Amino acid sequence: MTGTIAGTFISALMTGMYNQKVHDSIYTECGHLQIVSKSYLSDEDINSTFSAKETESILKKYQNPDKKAPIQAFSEQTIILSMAQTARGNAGINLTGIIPEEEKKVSDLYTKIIPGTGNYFSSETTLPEVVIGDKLAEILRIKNYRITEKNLSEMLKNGLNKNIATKLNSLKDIRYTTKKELEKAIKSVTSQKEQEKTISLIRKYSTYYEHRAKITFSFTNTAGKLSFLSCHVGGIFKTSNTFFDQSEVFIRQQDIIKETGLTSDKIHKIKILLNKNLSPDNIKNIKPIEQEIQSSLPGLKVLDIRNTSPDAYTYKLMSLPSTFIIMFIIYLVISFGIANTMTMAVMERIKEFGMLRSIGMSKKEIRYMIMAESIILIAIGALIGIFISLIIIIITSHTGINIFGSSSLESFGMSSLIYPDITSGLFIIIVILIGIVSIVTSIFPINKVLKIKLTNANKGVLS
Amino acid sequence: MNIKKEQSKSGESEKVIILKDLYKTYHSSEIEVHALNGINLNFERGEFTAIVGPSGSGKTTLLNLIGGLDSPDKGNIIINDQSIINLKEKDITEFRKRNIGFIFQSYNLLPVLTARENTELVMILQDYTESECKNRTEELLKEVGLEDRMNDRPSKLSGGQQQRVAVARALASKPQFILADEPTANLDSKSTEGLLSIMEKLNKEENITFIFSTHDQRVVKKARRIIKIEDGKVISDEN
Ligand SMILES: Nc1ncnc2c1ncn2[C@@H]1O[C@H](COP(=O)(O)OP(=O)(O)O)[C@@H](O)[C@H]1O
Ligand SMILES: [Mg+2]
Repeated sequence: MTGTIAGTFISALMTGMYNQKVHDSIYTECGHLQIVSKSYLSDEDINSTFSAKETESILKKYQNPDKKAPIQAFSEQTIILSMAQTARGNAGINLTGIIPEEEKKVSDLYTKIIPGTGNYFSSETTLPEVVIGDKLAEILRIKNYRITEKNLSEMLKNGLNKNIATKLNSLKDIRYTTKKELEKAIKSVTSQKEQEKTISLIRKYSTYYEHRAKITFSFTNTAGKLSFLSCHVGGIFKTSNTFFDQSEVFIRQQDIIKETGLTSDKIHKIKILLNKNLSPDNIKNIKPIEQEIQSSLPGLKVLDIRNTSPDAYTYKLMSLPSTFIIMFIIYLVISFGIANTMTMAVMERIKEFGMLRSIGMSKKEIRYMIMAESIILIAIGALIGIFISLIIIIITSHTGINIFGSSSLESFGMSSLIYPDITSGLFIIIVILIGIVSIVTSIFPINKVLKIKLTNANKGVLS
Repeated sequence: MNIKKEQSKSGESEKVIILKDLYKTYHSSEIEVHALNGINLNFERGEFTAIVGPSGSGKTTLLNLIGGLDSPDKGNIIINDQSIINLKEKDITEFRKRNIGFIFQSYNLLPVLTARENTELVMILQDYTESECKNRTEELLKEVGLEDRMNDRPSKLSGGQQQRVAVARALASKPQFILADEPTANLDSKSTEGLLSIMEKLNKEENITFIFSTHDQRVVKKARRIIKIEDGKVISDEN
């Protein structure tokens, strides 16, 4: 029973994980479809642009006017490969010019701004405003750590030991620009044992982001000349994909085109979100509309998730077989446990089987009897198990579940909050596996029982 | 299959079990134990026979061989004119089912079944009809004095009562022989007496051959034939 719960739940969790990954990459990062120029595909050059006006007028045909139209929203992007620089760090990034109001319709990134870091293009800044990711903030040392009276008292409220808090007093009000520096400092004042659970707590509460940090972007403009643009950080986002958080920077389109030599009509990409009616998260369902849009835009290239987020797509492809393999391993391990328990249970009743054989029950009948018993037992256990895990899955599929702690999965581009999901295919697999398990596991006790000499079995001797 | 037909000589009383020169040796941890050392015995229909002897003399081994639960190293066992020693597993099981009822020292009832169900079990294995099962079971349980405990599980019954269920079970399918290995060993003297009188009564009424081992003198006294064995040999056989 526990086995079934574990098996069912883990597989649901895995499916949930994959779905989450695909979901996030569609709704935060890539959209369902993207349109780029053919030359952009081979070379992401600043000059590989296409006309926004012409393309969008064609796309609008698929959007207006009724709610059943295949396209729900689209958003144009100007993408400039840049070097981001602060006084303390630099990194290569994609500086993406967007129209925030349009982008909001295709990406939920605006909901992922870390509280206290600002907001999504409505901050008051004197320089052009950019929105960057948490990881980039870390690299550019905009993300800092400082233990203060205030956050120390918050740490105490959240379970920090008083003794450790006193030890941290000596670190108060010092600014650490990296995780490492902070941890080194903590380690210098606390013991190994004290660090174990507290480091992540201290890190969490002592984090602060430099307000309105200034970043200078450098890039080559359309004429091939090196240009600079200084901006203020208006908000910092954190998604489930650390790589995205490191490499994507957003800016208002009007702020970037001035410096690049582009016009508002010359864009690099259009992201498209499809209508939910199409169940567009499943790649199969979007093929027809993808082909239709492609044929009405002969000069451009329409991309789907296979191209725009290949890793998410592979996860999706992988999910069923790999879930199956993992389930199979789980059930295999469980089988040994069950076989062992069954054997012991049956051995305890060796006298019964001895008696039954003595009074004329054949080996075949004994075999069927034990098999039927174990199938019934396992079936009952499995039913209860499936029932319980379904309840857990239904509950957690709404609330999400944070199993691996905060950051471990995120570095793989996965959300740490997982919404378990179970498909009917998976369900059938589980039932089949359980069936196999119950038959296989009954074979061990059967053989053991039938090997025992009858004269011994009647006495209850196991040899 | 090696089935020997023994001509039964008319005029003499019918020999239903013939044991010829039986040997059985156990090899356990380097020592050889000669449990049976050349046993020659005949049993007739309707006997009520005790096999007596000290512990370790070979009583259990002998009964197991007669019941086809084990096979001898040497010698022959002929039951109803048919040798059973070379029968296949399947046939020996069938033979036990048709001909022999067992009563075990520790009752060996199924704990999850009621007295009635435990008794019915053998008959169900033998494809009796439902009403036949029901009638015979009730009749037998009445005979052994358990008519008001029919729906109780073994755990609710005393040792004596459990052994009486075992007797009823052994008799249920109307076997020719009942083999009982120290059936009273776990019973107090009152239950022992009760059980024996039931066995005697059934022996007379149904003409079933009873062969039981014991080393209890009170039980020995009830037997009509007493076979004494020691060190795997028959040392006396008196009627
Ligand atoms: N399975 C066995 N393995 C080894 N020795 C055995 C086994 N069964 C019985 N014996 C030995 O055979 C001899 C006869 O045993 P048994 O027939 O059980 O005697 P009884 O029932 O008269 O006490 C004893 O010495 C016993 O130890
Ligand atoms: Mg014995």
